[in-house]
Amino acid sequence: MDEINKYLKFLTLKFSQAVVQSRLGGLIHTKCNNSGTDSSWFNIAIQDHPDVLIETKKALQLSQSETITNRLPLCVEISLQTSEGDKMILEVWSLNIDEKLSDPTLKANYNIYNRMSILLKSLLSITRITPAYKLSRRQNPDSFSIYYRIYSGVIEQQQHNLGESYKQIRIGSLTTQIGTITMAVAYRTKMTISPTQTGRDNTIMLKSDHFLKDLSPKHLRYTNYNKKNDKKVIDLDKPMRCGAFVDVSRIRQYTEEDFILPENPPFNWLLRKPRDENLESKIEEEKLSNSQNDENSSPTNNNNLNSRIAEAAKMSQSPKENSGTSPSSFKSRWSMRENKEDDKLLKELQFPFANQSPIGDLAKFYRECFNAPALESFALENAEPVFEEVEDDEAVNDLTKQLEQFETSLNEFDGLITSLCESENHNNS
Amino acid sequence: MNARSQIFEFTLEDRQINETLASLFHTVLFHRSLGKFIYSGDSSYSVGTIGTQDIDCDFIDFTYVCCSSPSLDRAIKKEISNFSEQLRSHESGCAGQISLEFFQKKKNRWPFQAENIPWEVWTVRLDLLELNNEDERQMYRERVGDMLAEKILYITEVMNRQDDYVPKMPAQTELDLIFDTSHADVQPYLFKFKFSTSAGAASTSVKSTMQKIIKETLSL
Repeated sequence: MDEINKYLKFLTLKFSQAVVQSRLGGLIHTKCNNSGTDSSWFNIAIQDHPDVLIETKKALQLSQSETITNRLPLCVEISLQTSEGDKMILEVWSLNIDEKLSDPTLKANYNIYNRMSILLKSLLSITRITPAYKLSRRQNPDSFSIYYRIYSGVIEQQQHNLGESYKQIRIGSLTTQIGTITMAVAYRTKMTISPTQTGRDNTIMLKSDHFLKDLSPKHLRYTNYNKKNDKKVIDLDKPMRCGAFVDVSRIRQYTEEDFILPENPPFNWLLRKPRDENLESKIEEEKLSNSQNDENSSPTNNNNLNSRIAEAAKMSQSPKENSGTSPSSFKSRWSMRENKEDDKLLKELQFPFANQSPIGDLAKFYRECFNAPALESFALENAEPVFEEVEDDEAVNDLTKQLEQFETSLNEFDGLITSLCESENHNNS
Repeated sequence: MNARSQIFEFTLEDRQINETLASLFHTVLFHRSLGKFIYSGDSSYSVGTIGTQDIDCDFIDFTYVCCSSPSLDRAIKKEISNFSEQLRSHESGCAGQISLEFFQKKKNRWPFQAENIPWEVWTVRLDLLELNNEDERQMYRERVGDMLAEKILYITEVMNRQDDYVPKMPAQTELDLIFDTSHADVQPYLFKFKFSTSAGAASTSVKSTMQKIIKETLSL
């Protein structure tokens, strides 16, 4: 019995060493030793970390008169603390003995010693597979550190401290003359830190005026916040001021002219440029005259972008021909590609090594549009009056006449349909 | 044959074969090894201490503990890499199994050879798969690690069961019938590896039988 108690005491000491050392963050490598002089307990080389030994002995508070069975269970709690001070318990390893489940018939102490050795080996293996092991390997003072706490007695509400869906593993149990020894671990599976997890002993040092409304920083923060919101309204009447350290003499003075956007529409460069300024002035003149002449004309003749482009194109093609608004302006626009001068523009759109880029796609698209065949209607310029300024009234009259005709011959259509239906019925029958 | 048998199955990438098998077999042998017996007199002996070593896997998110015995490690790795090579060759059909078999020898009368009686067999069946991208590789890195953790738990559970099929401690003269005494630093129970791959199974068995016959004739 005394022998088994001694085994159990050393098993407990090695248990806490094995658990704590596995969470120090490094790889452990101990050498085999068969000198026979100083063989370790349970024939496994687990070093004795002095701090852990002291902590374990403190927790067990072993005295000569008391057996270790009264001091169990022993728990090793592994927790994580972030650099901000948030704390979270990761796992609780426990070693317990149930004295009711004893087997006094067991005699071979050597067997029990060997089984304890196997139990310790299992403990070593399992300490490497719980989530806390990976965390401990990654610990770093800048982000988080792993701490341990060894205590004796009832497991302290570990279920609550390990969060939802924590897991429990029984590493193994061993029946002896004095009871059944059990090693187990309960560990956290959800690794998110919530504010409620802060430890009880983690009291914050507070200044005595902390909750005084006028002095508390919280209060100040809120008023500041409100003030900021008020300030956000920008007073347009106030002159703009330059920032700190700006050389005032170098600041460009903006005049009203700077605020007028240039006439050129966006992507104007893609469009054909008028050949010279002369031409441009002519366009301007023409535009003016057009607007004067066609004050009541249809919206398509307004000074919108399209018509201007069309006219510009037409002008460049036949600068001497100044025939005002006419269908030929459309034609000239669409037949621009015939002009060799456009090659210039196409050359501009050559982007070497840019075959796959979006700008390459744009160039390709532009070229395709450029080389599109002219609509036949434009080719048959005079024969097709489609784009001529058709007398709208006539067309409308034509339509009304046609409608009238159809209406008068409604009966004929109805007759046709009924005859068709009838013939179909006959066929079916 | 009345051996306890355990079977694990894994689906993994070829680069993970060696580490998966090493972590499983090393864990088993860590539990099934004792410190070296040192005899000082006729019946008294002392037992050496087993060192431990943490091993990080490169292709699996996993760390395992094994005996820090270079010679035992070599013995295990050699068998694993033989199997792994065969499995990765194109004839293997991408599936195979390897067994770690613990046995004890039973002496026979001359001229018969000692009989090997297995008492525990750990079998790992592997199916290879090909991964197309790093995302999948990362996923399998974690998945195989999780599966290994499960199997390690199972191994420890088996090791701590109190059933007595494990051979009894022998007398000094019969130590070689139970333990592998060839290693200088640890003393594992006698073990051997057997493996086969789905396509190469027939040829290896023929080969091994032939080898056995030749060996036996030579030993006579």
